[in-house]
Amino acid sequence: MQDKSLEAVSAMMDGEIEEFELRSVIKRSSEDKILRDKWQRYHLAQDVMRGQAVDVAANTDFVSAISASIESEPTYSASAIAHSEQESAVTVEPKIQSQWWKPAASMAVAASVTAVVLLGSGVSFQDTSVPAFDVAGVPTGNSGFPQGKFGDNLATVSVNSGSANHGFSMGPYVQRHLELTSSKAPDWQAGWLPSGYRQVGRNVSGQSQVLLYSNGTNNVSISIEPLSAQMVPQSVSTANQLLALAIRSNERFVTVVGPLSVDVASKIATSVKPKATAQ
Amino acid sequence: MSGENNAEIDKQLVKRVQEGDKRAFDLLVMKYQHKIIALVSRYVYDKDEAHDISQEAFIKAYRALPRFRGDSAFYTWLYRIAINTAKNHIVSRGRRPPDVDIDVADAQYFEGENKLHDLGNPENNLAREQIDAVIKTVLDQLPVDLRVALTLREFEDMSYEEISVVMDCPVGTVRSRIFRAREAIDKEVAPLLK
Repeated sequence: MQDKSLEAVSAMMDGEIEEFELRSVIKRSSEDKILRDKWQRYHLAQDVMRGQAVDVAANTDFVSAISASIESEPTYSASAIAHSEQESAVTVEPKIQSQWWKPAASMAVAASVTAVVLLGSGVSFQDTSVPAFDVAGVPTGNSGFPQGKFGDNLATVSVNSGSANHGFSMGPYVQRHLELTSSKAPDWQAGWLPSGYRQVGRNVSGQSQVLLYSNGTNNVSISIEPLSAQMVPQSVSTANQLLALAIRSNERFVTVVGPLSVDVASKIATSVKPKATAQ
Repeated sequence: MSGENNAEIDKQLVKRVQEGDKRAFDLLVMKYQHKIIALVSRYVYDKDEAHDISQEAFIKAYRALPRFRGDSAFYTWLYRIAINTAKNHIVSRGRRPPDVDIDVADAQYFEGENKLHDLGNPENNLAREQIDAVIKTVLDQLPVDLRVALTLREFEDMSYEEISVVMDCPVGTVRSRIFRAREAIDKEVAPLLK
């Protein structure tokens, strides 16, 4: 049992750990000294093996001192973080000046999608030690899109999240795809779909809506949101035959999920139009 | 590819901290303490001073975490905080910071030249050399499957999936081999740190 949890620590070092294991390791880390020591020593050995500088004298006292200081600091909550981000987004326009975005900005652009914009963040700090921004360094694949992953909101979804693509979470879109229920009539629709597909489901929530299409074998969902509701950068992610592609199109943020190629998904996404003008 | 996985784990740990789990920050400190101290030691040569500045940098990072959105890698962000904290410290002491800054992109790895391993502390350098020698000895003595799995991971930066293809075995076996190799090393390294 101990070996299994330590094996998870080793896998966690390599970023090869499942979500439930990650939660378990973090939870146990505060009480399990063996686990903490392993995490620390494994990293020390890794740094030495890779020829990196290490301070061997740094030990648990170093960590304990920081831990004690942080104990008196506020404990964060997800809602407070969201509020902080909102404030930052409103008050500061980020200046793109880091080298990290340049490779992405100059990369090839896929098929019918004309541009990929990596979103810099708008944050400012009074403390000059802290960088005033953290600019997107999202890796890109051959498609020209930054690679996301199906995220950790997929506890009920049998999607293999252990793929090598990582970054932001596309999980909410996949969740919508799988839990689609109809309500109000949508006023947007796809102007183009591969032959054989017809609409079989819909969900409208505020200004956001999700459309589900099926050809009897495969399902394709399209999420259409105001740009202000955009949760991820323009991106593409794949896992277990499903592709999730998100782009800005027609003044909306459109996300297509289904067993599709990037070209087909982007063609569907760019065809989305208000019902009155859909062809 | 594997580096992305590593960054993703950092992102997950940061997310946990942002959601109120301070324990996750401890894991980030443990992971990066050696690198941060080594980085700061390039600005400040006194060992205790370097430790103090490094601790201050981690605490600043914790305070700033609500505004860290994960668009860049956590370590890049953390390294920049450490460098700025070190420079501010030097200025506050009436000293002049170095003219040539350390590129954050290069700061992750201080490899290649011995002087970059050297923190200016003979005792530390000796301890590091001992650990290095022990690791090499253990690696030489490991069963070949374990040695190959670990070296592909550590030196070639391959993902488990890539290693499984190279070694023609399941990903689970790769994971187990790497763990057993690390355990063998740890068994010999741990006594040196007491």
